[in-house]
Amino acid sequence: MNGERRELGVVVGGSLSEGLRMKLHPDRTVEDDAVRAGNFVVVVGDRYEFFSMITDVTLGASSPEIMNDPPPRDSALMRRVLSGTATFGTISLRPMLMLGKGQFGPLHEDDLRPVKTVPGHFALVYEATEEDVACIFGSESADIKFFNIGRPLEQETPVCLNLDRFVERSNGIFGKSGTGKTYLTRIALCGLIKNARAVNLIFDMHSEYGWKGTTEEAGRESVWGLRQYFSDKVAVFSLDPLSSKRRGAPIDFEVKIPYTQVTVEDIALLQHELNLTNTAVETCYALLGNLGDGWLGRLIRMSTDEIADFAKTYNVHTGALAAIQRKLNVLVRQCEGFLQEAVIDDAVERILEYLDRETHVVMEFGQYSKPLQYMLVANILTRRIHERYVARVEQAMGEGRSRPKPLVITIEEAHKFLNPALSRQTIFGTIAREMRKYAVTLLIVDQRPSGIDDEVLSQLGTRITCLLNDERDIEAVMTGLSNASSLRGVLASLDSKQQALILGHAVPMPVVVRTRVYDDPLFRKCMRPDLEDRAALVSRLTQLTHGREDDDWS
Amino acid sequence: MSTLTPIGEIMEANTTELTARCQKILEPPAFGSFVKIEEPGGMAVFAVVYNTTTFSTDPTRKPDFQGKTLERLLQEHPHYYDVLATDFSGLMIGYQENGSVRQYLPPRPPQMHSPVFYCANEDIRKLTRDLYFLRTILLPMNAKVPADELVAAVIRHAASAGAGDFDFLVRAGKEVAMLLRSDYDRLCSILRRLEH
Repeated sequence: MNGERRELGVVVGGSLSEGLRMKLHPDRTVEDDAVRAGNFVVVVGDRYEFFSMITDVTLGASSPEIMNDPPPRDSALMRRVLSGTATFGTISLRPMLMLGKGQFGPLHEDDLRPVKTVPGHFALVYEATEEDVACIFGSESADIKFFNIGRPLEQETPVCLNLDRFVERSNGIFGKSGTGKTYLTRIALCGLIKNARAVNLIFDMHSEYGWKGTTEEAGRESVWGLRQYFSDKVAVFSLDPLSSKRRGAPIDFEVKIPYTQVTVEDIALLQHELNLTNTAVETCYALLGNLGDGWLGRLIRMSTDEIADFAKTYNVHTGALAAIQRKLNVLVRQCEGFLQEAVIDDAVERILEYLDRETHVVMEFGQYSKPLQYMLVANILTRRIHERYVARVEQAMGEGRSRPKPLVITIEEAHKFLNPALSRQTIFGTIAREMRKYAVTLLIVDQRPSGIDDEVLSQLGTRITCLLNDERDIEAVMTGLSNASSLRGVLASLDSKQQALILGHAVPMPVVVRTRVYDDPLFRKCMRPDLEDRAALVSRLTQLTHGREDDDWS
Repeated sequence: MSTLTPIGEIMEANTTELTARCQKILEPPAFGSFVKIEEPGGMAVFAVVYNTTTFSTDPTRKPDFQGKTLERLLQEHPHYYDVLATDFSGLMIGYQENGSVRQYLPPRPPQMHSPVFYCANEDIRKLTRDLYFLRTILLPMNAKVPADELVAAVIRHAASAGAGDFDFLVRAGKEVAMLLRSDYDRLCSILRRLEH
């Protein structure tokens, strides 16, 4: 195996806390393809092999005089001679895992140990081979829990997420706008659905997951949504059936929410959006205490006199109460399409029913994609679903039955729910902190991780991060990581598209991947091998779109 | 340059250096050239020329100012050469024994009166496969050896012996750079001498 590895350099120093320093082989240059931040290398020590990541590339010189008196530009010989001898590349490496030397082939997870020491002086450093990647990141063919998410920068062997570990904790997908967050989220969701590792509830703010998603790929208008891939396993719920109809997207359920399900916590979550003071929120509690579950409906319908009476009876300020009524009226008006006095069918019951059948639910918002609407609905539904899951898990524990299948809730624009001011109040903050206790975890999709509460970020199991430029965002993504400083450079040097740094619970070591291409013929073939036949495909699509021929796949 | 006829004969030798008298007066081997002394028993010692001197062999008669060209002088005094001799000094850099080349000093210096030959290109190529001997030249015991000039001359000779072209110069330059890692000025002065 060693014969296939190409030597890259030799370890000349470093420490466990700071990482290793490697002197580049004189025949290799710092511009070599293998020398890239984020690349994967193997340091072969006497007893262990250390799987490491390139975190920084430095130009070094044996004497400071060289910097003061560089060789003349026309002196080809001097330049050639000095490069690799008096001037050389120094590469910073971060050892991530260690493995007993010569231990290859199918590995058990325990064989890969966290790094507790460093290799000795002059340990040789090699480029990682395809076998090394497969040995660390598992293979889809080995176990259904592995899901191919992309390839390392220089190898073609897939990097796999361990889906069982992925669903154990809340996860985050970050990246600035346009870096492929939504693509990555779709890919991860496809993995969870295909391999049936969890049930998903997706709050789809911009109607991109259920039925057809947008793409920036040239010459293509749309890509398949989850429903097209897994028609019998995915249901689309919509707040705005008209929008779904316009897009030709079949829906399974139209979601309506009764006033009675809006609690004061939901209103508190919207404090910023509705411009409510803390006192106003407290007044809402007083209303709830006195009027019961129907408080919102009652308050909205109150006349001026009734408000004055109520204020007098319960010792609240009339003006303040009137202001609350005005502001909640705005809320009710903005949400009138789905927030109604009385509702026949309870959306939460229906969602749970689908989830129980292991059918994944995509909640489309259609025109109601303003933060106010999105936050209200997501919070109301999630709170109740979470309550039910808590009850079920406790019951399962009490009766010694197996726990319900893990539920993964995908939310976009997560910083709106999980900012430091709100994360303690919203149900999402609770879920992020509770982790797997109650079999409900979050998949947070966000472009502004610095807006998310540190406490929530530090609890995230796996972070999949596309390019981020803002120092604060980079800082935020690295919250709670022991070797953050060395990965920062890697993160800032990602390509702006289709590259992501994956770190955390679901991968044995941090890795930069070129992500899979979502919805290309190969992806389709992997997700739906049964649909390989184009005729079968077209007939299925036709059937799905109720007779409408869909011909975007060619 | 013939490698079959001797160019000189050993007059003096110690562990690190040798001095030989030239076969032909005023025709010493070039500065930095590779020479070889074959010893009985199959050993061959390699050295590089670092100094040449022409002098009067008669201590009572020293050359004096003549105001004539050498040609004219010889015409007028055909025996002039009889009192002159040309010696060259070499720094030993390695030896060959049983077919393998060693880049360190021979176990004993060459014997007196042994003939000295130019190294064949084949020998030079063999010798320069590894360039560790450059250290012997660069850091000589004898302060009279013009080390920087000698290293540059030796590398140029090796390159022209067909041991390589630009790539050889780069390889040798890198070896020098390793040896002079803490002395950038000296390194530069040597590299400039290789370029021109």
